[in-house]
Amino acid sequence: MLEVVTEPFAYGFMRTALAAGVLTVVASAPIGTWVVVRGLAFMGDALAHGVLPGIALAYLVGVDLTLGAGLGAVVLVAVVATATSGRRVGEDTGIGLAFVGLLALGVAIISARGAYAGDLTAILFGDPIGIRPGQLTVLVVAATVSIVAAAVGHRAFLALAYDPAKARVLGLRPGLAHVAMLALIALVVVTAFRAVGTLLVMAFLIAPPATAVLVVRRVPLVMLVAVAFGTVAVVAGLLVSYHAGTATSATIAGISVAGFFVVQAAQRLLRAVRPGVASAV
Amino acid sequence: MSRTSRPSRTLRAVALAAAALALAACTGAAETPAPAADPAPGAGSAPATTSDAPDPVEVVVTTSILGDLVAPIVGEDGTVRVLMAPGVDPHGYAASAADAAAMRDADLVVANGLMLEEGLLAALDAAVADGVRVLEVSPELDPIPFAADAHDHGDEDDHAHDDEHAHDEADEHAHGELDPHFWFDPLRAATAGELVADALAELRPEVDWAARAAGLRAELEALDAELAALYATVPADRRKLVTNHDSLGYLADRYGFEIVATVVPGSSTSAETDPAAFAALADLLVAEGVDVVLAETTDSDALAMALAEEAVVRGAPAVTVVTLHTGSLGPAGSGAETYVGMLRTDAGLIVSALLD
Repeated sequence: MLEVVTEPFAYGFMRTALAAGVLTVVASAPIGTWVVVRGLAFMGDALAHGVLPGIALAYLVGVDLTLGAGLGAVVLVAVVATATSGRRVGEDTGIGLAFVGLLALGVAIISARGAYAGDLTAILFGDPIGIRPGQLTVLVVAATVSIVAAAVGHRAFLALAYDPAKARVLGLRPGLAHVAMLALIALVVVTAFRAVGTLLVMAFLIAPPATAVLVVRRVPLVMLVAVAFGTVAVVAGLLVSYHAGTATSATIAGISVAGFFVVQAAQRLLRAVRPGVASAV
Repeated sequence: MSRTSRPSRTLRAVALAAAALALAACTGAAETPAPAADPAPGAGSAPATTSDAPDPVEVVVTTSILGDLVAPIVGEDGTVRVLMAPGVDPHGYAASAADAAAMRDADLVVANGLMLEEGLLAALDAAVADGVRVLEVSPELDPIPFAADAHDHGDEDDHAHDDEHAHDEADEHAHGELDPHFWFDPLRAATAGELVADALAELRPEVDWAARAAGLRAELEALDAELAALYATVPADRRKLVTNHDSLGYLADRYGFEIVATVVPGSSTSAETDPAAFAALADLLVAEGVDVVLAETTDSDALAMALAEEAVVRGAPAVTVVTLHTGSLGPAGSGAETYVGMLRTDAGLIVSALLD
C-alpha cells in the first residue's frame, strides 16, 4: 500500500516536481490570500495571460523573456489604472479590458511570426515535471520575497482590505498598498510560471486560499492553511499523474480546485449532521 | 478580540511559513547531486547477467508514427512504449508523471525533434539532464525548411529574424524553421530506422539490429516506388497543394508537388490566420485553379471548410476538403493504423481528389 506513494517519489524528477510545487504554493499563498480576500482573482489571471505581448516582443528582440514578462506586467497594471482612472468604470471591467487587449496583441504578434508560435508556447509555459533543480532557486527567491513582503505590508494590506478610510487616517497609504499588492501578484506570477506554467500559478493563487477561508478567519492563519491545502494538492496531483497517466499541471490544478468543493461539501454535511458546530477561528 | 498582539501573531505566521519554505527548499536542494539516486537506472546500465539471452531493451517513443517505425526494429528483443495514442496532435500533447517515469526507466527514448513535440520539450530536456539516452531523429535526417514561404501576407520582411539574436534557452532547440514532418518521405523514415538501430547497437551490440533496419528500408523503398507511381498519375497542371498547416513539405519535395499555401500560417496548429491573408488565400486558390484543400485529422477542419466556401464565392468551381492523417496514426478502420497504411491512404485520397 505504501508503495503507491514511495514508488513514484523514488524518482528524482518527482522529488524536484514536488519541491517546485510546494515552493510555488508557499510563494502564492500569502499574496493569494489577499487576492481572495480582496476579490483580485481576475487580476491574477489577467497578469498570467496579459504579459504575452511583453514576452513575444522580448523573444523577437532577443532579451530575457522574464524581463519581457515583467515589463508586460507593468504595462498591464498601467492600462488597468488608466481604464479605471475616470471612476466611471470598475476595476473588474478595467482588468477585463487590459487582459483581452494585451492578450490579443500578443496573439497578433505571434501569428505574424508564423512558424515561431511553437517556440513561444514551449518556452512560456513550464511544466513541473520538466523542472531542472537549478530552476528551484528562482522559486525559493520568489517564495522568500513573497513571505517578507506579505509580512512587511501586513498592517497596510489589512487596513486596505477592511477599512480603507481608516487606513488613510492612520497614514497607511491604501493607494500605495494597492499598487504594492498588484506588484506582488505580478512578481509571483511572472517568476513562477516559467517554471511550473501559468495554469498552476493561477490555481495556487486562488484555490488553496479560497479553501482555507472556508475553515479559518484570520488572515495569517488563512495563509498557513492555504500552504497546507496547496501541498496536499501537489502531492495528490503528482501521484494521480503518475498512476493514472494524466497531464501533470492540469491534474494538480484540478485537484486543488476540487479540494475547495470537497471541503465546502464536508462542512455543509457536518453542519447538517451536527448543527451548532462553529467553524474554527 | 484575541489575546496576543498583532505584530507577534504576524511574526509567528512568518516563522511557520519560513519553516515550510526551508523544508521545501531542503527537499529541492537534495536534487542537485547527480541522478544516481534514481532506483531504476535506465540509460544502458544493464546489470551483468549470467544468462546468454540479452535483457530486453526498453524503448519509449513519443509519437504513434515513430512508434510504428521503431517497433519492427526492436522486434522481439524489447518493449516499445508509445506516449501519444493514435489521433493525438503531437504539437499539443502534454506529458504526465507516468510518461516522465517511463522515460527514466527506458534504455532509449526516441523523439521526433525539431519542435514537433511542443508540449514535451521540458520533460525531454529534464530526462536528458537526468542521464536518459534520448535520440531525436529528425535533425539527423537532412531536414528541409518549411515549404510554404508563399504566405500571402502583406509584409514579407519577417525572415531576417533568426541569426541576429541570441535566445537563451531557445538556442538549445532548433528555432522552428526546419520542418519536423519528415515521415512523409519513406526514404527518410528508413534512415530513421537505421538511426534507431545504431543507437540500440550501442546498448546491445550482440543483437543484429542493422538487419532489421535493412528489412525496414527494403519495405519502405518499395512503398516509395509504389507512391511515386501513384502520384505520377496526376497531371502537371494539377500538382498544387493547399494544406491546413505546414505538414506536407516532405511529400511535396519527394513527389514533385508545389505547396501553394497553408490555411494556418506556420508550423504549429496553435497559430492563427488573419482576414486579409485568408481572403488572399481564397483568391490564390481561384487564380491557381486549385480545387482541393487538404485538412488533417489532428486539427479542426473549420478553417479549411471556410476557405473552400470562400473560394467558391470568389469564382472557383466546387472546392473539396479532404481530410488526411498527417501527425498521427489513425484508429482501427481508418486505413491509417500503420505508417505504411497511413501513407498509402493519404496518397489515395490526394490523388483521387486531384484527378477528379
